[in-house]
Amino acid sequence: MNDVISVSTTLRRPDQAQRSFGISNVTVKSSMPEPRRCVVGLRRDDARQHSAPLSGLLFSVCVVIVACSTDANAQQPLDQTSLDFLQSHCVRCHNGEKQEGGFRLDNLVGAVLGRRPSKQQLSTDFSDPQVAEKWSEVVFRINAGEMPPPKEPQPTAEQLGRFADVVTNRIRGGAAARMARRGRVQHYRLSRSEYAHTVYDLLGVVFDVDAPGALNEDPLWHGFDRIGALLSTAPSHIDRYFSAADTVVELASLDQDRPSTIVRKSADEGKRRLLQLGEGWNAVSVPGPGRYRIKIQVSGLPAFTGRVPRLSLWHDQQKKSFAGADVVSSEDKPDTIVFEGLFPAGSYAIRNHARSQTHPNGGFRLFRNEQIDASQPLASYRGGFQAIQTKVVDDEGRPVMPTLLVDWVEVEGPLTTEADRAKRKGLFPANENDMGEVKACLKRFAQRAWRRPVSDAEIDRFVRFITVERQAGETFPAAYKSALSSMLVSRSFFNLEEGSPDEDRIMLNDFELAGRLSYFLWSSMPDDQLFEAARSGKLHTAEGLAAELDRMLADPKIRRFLDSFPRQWLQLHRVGMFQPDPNLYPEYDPWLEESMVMETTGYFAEMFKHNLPLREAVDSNWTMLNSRLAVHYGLQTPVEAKLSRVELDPTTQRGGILTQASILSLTSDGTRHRPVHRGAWLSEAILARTPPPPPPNVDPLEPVAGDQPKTTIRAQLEAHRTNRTCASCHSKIDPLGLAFDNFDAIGRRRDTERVEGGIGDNPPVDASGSFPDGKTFAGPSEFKKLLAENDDRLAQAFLEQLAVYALRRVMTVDDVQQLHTIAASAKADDYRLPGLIRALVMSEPFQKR
Amino acid sequence: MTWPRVKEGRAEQHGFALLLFAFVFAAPLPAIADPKSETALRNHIPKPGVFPPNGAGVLLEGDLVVSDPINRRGAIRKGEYSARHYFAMLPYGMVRYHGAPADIRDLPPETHLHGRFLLPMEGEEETIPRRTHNHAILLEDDVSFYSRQGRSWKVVGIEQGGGPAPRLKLSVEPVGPEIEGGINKPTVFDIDDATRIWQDQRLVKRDQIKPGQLVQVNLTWGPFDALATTDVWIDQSSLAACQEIQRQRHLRLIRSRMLPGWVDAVKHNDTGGGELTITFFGGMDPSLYTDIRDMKGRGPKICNAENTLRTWNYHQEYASPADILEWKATEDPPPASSGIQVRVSVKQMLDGFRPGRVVRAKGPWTYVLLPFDENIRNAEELERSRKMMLP
Repeated sequence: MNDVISVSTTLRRPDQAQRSFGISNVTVKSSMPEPRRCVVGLRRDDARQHSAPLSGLLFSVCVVIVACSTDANAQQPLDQTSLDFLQSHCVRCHNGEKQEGGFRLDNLVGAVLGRRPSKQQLSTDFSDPQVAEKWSEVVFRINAGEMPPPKEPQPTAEQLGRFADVVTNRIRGGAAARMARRGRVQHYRLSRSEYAHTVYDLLGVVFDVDAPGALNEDPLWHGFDRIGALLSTAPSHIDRYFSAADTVVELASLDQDRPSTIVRKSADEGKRRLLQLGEGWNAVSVPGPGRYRIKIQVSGLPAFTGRVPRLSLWHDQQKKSFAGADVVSSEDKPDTIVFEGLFPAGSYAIRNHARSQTHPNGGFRLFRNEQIDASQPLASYRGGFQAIQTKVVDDEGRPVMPTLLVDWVEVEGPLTTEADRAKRKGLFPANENDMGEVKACLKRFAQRAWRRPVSDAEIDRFVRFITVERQAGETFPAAYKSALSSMLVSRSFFNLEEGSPDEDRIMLNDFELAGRLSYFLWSSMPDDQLFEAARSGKLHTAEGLAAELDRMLADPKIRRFLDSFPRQWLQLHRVGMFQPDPNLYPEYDPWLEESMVMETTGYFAEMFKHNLPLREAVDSNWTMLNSRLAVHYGLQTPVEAKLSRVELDPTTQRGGILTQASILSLTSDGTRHRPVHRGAWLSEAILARTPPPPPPNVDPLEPVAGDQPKTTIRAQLEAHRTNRTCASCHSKIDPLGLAFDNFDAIGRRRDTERVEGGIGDNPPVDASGSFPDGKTFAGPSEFKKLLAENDDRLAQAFLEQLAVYALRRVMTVDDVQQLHTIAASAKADDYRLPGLIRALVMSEPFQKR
Repeated sequence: MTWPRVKEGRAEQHGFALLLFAFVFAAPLPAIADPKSETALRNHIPKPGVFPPNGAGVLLEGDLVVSDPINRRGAIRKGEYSARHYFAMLPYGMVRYHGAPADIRDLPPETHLHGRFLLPMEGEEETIPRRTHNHAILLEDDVSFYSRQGRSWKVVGIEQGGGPAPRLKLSVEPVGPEIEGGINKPTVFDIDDATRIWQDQRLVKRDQIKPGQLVQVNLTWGPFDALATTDVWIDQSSLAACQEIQRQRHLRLIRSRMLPGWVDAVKHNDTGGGELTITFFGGMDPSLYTDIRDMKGRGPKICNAENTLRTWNYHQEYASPADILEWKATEDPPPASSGIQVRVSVKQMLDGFRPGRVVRAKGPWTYVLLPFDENIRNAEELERSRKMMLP
């Protein structure tokens, strides 16, 4: 067995390393495959000898060895004509003193080999993925006409083309070298939610990964929570995986299913619980995570404005709502609402969903905290001793805010479905003394848990473990459960493993492909049918893959993708990150926030369900609304209280994702909108181009002084237009955000911009602008139309985001060409959403590591 | 209706009223009451939320014999042989003492008072038994009554009175215009060693009263239906000093109990808050209003009160913080109104914020925990406070 020693280090020039250690022909195993960070391992191969002592290598933490005979070209300097080009057109700004844009090229012009590059100097080692990325950015800028800047002397078209070609060819030429630097095996750790889904699909067990202390939070990369390079495994992860595995196995192994109980909690005799806005009644307690049915008898009285109360089951510890419903029913004819689903353990409040407001003295709002007489009509609750309490009804007897009157609540569970039970069939051996059966059970479980064929040798370790435990005095069930737990802490469980240590393999094998496919579309392990397809080798045929893909797209579990992908792609985790100031935005409440996110994920799901082309993501004449959103947008309340598709009038300027409240508000800072952030978001999410960060020491915008006239944020961003350094980036970022200036920080339409401070009237908004190619727009509708016209670009960008999600890694310069090809294949189908997904899955990169 | 026996010094007033009464009832009453007619004005019934017109009600005078400062109620004795005239202050009713704003609790027992009384407000008919003009809009002591209307007394001299029990008398002449309900001809008041005599902001002896001086006096019950002096102010500075002390008492009171007013209009939003339009009651020291108007940062806190101006438990806690949106001051407001109407926004509407209901506003003043007997603490107390408990 080959040992693997991992050494963490920074990247150095390979020639220097070679000279120091005189080592050649050593392959490198990289356990972290991504270009941004470099954790490199050294693999000792029996067939090859090191000349440097191993201990010397272990103690020197500053060296990495990279070698490959094909690297030689990748590290060559540029030719003289190209260097002349750099001297004439680039080095004036990108040199040691100026370093515009944060990098310099002057070292190459000096053409001094062997000089150690500093961070700013751009090397010509095209086998380094980061170097290749930087050069591809250079080519992009040149081709786009951005560099050299318009005011500088311009090269001829021929000179420019030649230089771009030279660099592009060098980039391409280094591809193989870059590929070779990747290790043979890569591990992509599962994200938290994937862990939860996997555990549920594997054993029918609900494990609450969001509970405090359960599993570590996953770091996000531009909204994506499943980028392999970022999901490192630290000792705390393993520690928590141990606890989680124990809990999961325990829950799976309860001999009889946990008895299902019905617990009922009522208001006092002859009374009903009054819940005003934001008030909750802590009446629901869920003892352990699982499937529950919760019934509530409640009347919901709309406010005098017609606003309907929203009942929510609010988890007290996690501070979020797990179920909810709009309730409209009269006092004498209450509704019985039934929620059925998976609930984590904890105490819940039945809450009249709204933002809690604190009492000015620091305590909570003065709720009545009251049970009222069931026989007394609500309209009579005024006057007399009521005076100091919050008002319930106005002088006409109408409720002043949406009000709930709760009679009782019943919690039934935990319920176990047949499907859940079926997952645990054969988990435990019937005869604990029959080692053959024990082994068979373990092997069956391991194959499902590790998502690949498992050799007997691997199982023997666990059988030995059980034997040792029993000899030490442990009972069989405990020992067996420990073995199962260990299997769930194996790296094969919580990682997607791709590649083999024994071979230099680029293509995925069947099981790896099945895993990639199921984690892409279901955020979980393959089901039996997919395993079967992998086992039989069908998955590597186009027909087999297409058949499984179609089946998976039609499976109910696709809703996990339809919910998770838009949240990650559109960075919806930022919604509500800066809570809107309650003084400025008193209408903003938690239910609005949830509804906003539901609108966007529901929109995406609707596009999928109805096979709509991608351009409708940017511009359409419909959206998904519920009653809360309709009130927020000032539109007519839809007939159904729950989320449903609504056709829109063009004058509303809604339609498409870009004008949805979630998108418009996720870039706000809690007090105002931020057009530059909106532009940066659009550039990143829709056009897949992350703008470069701002330079340091840029002053923030000051609030308008008391004696100055009120001005819009747009006017205050004047420097972005006039200052050349600012304009170099901001001319591309700002118009994308300023196009939506007629929507405020929480996504409402407006004609004037509310400016705190300053004198005079609030100024009118200006949402006009122009694209870099010169096309102008007067407002968001025209903007969206123009953007939607260029659906080739939209598709290219969308595919890049989809590929990041599916392949769990960042797209590099080497993927660009292949993404073009995939986009082209989807174009014939008008870039319909399911078609784009199909095109990606059926493409070559999807089947490669 | 019984009339008091006509007394020296009061004959004209009652005689006049008698004549008026005769005149009114001798003449045929018009079929439809003209609201501007004397009777309508006299018998005006105040409505919650509306200030009464100028001149509504009747003028009465008497000695304060019962005092319920917590509920702003009491009784005056109109004459030696009269029944007590029990009264309640209207919510906007004003009290003046020593020429400064005051409250019932500032009036010493047996102080001779002048008052304007109206019929009970709608909904308050049961407060005082015997429905009559027993809700006061104004109560003031003599010095306030006369000095407000430009009147003072010129000293004629101090004389020995005759009769079975001869007493010392201060003989005075009225100086200034004739006033309704006042003594408009030369008269005598009892004076003795219990009378406080003020000069140069000091207490001095009786011998400092010289003929020809212009003085102010406060009066009380005297035997044999006389009016006796409690205080004689020889100069303005002494009166001003007493006035200032009373003003400070008033400030101390209102700052702890909060500035009263009532709700004109309510506009709800559907998140539990909204806007209130409040008119503050008049008769308070002007600094109290400007304190609230000039608050920086946070606005006033508004709490509920009953018509007695009593607040509920912990009146700062059960108050809703408000932000002032608009502050309007009108010239020439109706009597008992300050003329100041504010529009405030509140995040939490309390049940008592309804048009016509009394509220109190806390300005930038130190919070004071009131003595418990002043608060209304529960429904039972509220019920009990609705009616005057007669001793």
